[in-house]
Amino acid sequence: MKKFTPILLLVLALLIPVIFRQKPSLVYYLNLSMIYAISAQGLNLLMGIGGQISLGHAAFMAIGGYTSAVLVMVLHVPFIVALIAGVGLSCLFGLIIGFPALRLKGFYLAIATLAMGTVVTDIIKRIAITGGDYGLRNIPAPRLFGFTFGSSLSQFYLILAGLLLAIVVTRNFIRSKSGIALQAMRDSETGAQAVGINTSNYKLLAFILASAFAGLAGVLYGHSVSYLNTTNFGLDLSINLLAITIIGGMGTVWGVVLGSFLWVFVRNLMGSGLEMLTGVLFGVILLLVVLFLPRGLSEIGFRIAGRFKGKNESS
Amino acid sequence: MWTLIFRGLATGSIYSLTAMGIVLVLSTTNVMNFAQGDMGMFLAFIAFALLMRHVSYPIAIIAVVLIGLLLGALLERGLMSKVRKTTSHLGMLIVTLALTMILEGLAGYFFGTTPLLFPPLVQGAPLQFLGIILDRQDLVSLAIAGVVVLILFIVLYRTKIGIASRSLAEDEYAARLLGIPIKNIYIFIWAASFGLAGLAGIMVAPKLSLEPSFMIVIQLKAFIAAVLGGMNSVVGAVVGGLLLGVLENFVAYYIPQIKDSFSLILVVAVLLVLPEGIFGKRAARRA
Amino acid sequence: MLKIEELHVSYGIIEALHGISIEVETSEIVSILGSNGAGKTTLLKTISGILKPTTGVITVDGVVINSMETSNVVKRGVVHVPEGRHIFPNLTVQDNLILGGYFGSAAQNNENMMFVLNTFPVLRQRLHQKAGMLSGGEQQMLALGRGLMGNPKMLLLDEPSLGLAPIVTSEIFSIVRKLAKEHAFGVLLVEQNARKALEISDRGYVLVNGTIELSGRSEELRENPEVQKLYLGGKNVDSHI
Repeated sequence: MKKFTPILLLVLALLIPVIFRQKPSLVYYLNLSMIYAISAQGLNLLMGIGGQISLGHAAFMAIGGYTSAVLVMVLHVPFIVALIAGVGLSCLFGLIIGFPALRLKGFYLAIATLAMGTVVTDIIKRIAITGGDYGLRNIPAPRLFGFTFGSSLSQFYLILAGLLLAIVVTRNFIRSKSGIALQAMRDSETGAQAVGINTSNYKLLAFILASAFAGLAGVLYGHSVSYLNTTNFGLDLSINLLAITIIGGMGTVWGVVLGSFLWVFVRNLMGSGLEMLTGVLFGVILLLVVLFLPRGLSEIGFRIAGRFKGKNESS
Repeated sequence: MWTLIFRGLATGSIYSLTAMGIVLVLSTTNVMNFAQGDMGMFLAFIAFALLMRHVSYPIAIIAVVLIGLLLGALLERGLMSKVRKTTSHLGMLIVTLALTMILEGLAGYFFGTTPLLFPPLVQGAPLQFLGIILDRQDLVSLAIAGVVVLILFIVLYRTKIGIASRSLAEDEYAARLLGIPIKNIYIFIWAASFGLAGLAGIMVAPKLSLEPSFMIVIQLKAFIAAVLGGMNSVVGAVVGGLLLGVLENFVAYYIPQIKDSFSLILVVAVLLVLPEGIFGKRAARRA
Repeated sequence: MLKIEELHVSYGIIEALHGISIEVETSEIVSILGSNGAGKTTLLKTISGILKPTTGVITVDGVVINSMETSNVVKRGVVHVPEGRHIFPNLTVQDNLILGGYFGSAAQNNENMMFVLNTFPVLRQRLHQKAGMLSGGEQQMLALGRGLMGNPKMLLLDEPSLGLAPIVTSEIFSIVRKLAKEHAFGVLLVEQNARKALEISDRGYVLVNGTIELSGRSEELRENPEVQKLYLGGKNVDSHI
């Protein structure tokens, strides 16, 4: 049974847009959820596995998004090249920023990443080619092997592929030697150092991977929403991504996905005038999770699943 | 030249007020409070609502400071004291992030996200004194900040509860053994810091425009001021805030291209070269 | 005055004190001897309300204090001067003393301050200096003085001689003895330096692995061969650290 669950989920996921064909806005929200899930998966690695904090995560989305959009729009580079360049530049910045930043502890890392994130978006805004305060409009849809992902429906599959990639990479990373080392380090840094684990290298690796995910999410965001503005990648989004990760459940692959869906759908289905209350609602949920569910909402899922399993075995 | 310094001090005094609140809470309760700025924002909205109902300016200021004190006390009593038992320092930080989401959401819901014009404390043409151009609003806010800093210092250095707060920042175990009622001190600290937040909010609002996110930039600058000041000293926070204000003004005048990024680059540089701040823990250890 | 009966204290599932009974009378100095990890500091922390006992009763003048918060224990006149002194290094000597009298009235505190400064004249000269600038002996005097500011009926002293030169230790111990006799409060003294402790105390208890192995008058304990072997390092060897 357990073996087939992912396949079942995948089939279900593949069918979802077909079922909701008549409601493109719904598919659009699904796409948005998946994009945030990809980005949050990076924070998951950084926080849930690495025990580090980042308040500048959204800035890496901006780096990926703007790089790719500018390359396609100005230099008319093929999408696939722009995608790779966007993710690559995000990684590079992850390396440049992560290398010094990860020497800092707790509070200081939070402030440093916050400041760096603000600097990055500020610089992007100042480059003439990015449209400055007006943002970048009419970013062309992704085009791969001659096929244009023009509709939300077709984009769904592209983004789903991206999310699956992020999930697989996260999974493998958690189970890899570096992932295990990071978790050991999160629990006791001195202990990990004592057994000879070079903690800073693994932290850096996690930071770069997290940047890569954010970059990928940024690229997909730009080309599917077709509009980029630095104000959308500020502290606000960074905090929301943090909330998504913690609410969904740090250290679990699926919790983050759950968190993203919850965030996008609650925010957009609240109706006009009430969307400001999403922030309040999520703030309260975040509080409750920190207080009562350190492993996030996915823990509830696990408990229910555990109960079902127990029943099946006893019957 | 002197005009630049004066303006820098006026802006810096606001950073100082916010940074003091952050450092006060961090050094005693070990919580890095990301909601300090947003509490100021929320209180500024309350002040705005009062002013719109023709409450006089001084009364609005006093009311907002009192509400800030009350909210701070309630927050400690109702939430922080409970969270403290169950979570880590990082968990506490996330709690304050949740608070920012709640405060910004509430402000946006009740007052909208369209920027509002907050009436200045005083109006009229800038004064001129020995060739220095002195903006009236700046003069008043500098004066208020000066008085408040003075009061806070008297409380911290001359009253039992103030001395006890500082002792808590140094050695909580010893403070407990002396029978100092730590719970009450925590309430005092949170109340004081949110009172400061209210003042800062009212003083910033006329300079920027009133909207749910208008204090974020001040929060960031206050962090920078606090880092410059070593994160654990209230004196350091005041000096750091004023220093940052003046430096920023000079940079904006002479190299305007980098004025927005300057302070951020400065803080990253300080953090990397001296991860504990300029006169941070080493000073505490030496003394 | 201080009476401890059948005290059990645990850290999680590990029990540190297994049923201890101790009494201290007014004007009496009682020392607790024992090696590292015997449970001496645990005992003091439990009396001052930092740790809660699993079972057992602690009373001061007949009032049960073992379920009280530390601040209420202090109000009852039980003051704990901790190991390592724990003065506030960045506060002035005066501020340190003021905090010792947190609950007292202004008049009472002024009186106590005079008393402390007369007892430790060196503190008067340093009143406005940061406490961290004091020498080890002066810091110990400050810690004691800060304790005295709380009008103690019962003083709990944890390793007051730690890191001090023998002469300074002797000076501090003689002051403690004089204070206890003249001002009628009890002292419970935890000391590694068993020789010095038995010199100034009236009675003593020997704590081994969380139980009282031996108790009696200090002179008796000093002559006890077991105590001599384990804690006094042979009869003629000075055992100061």
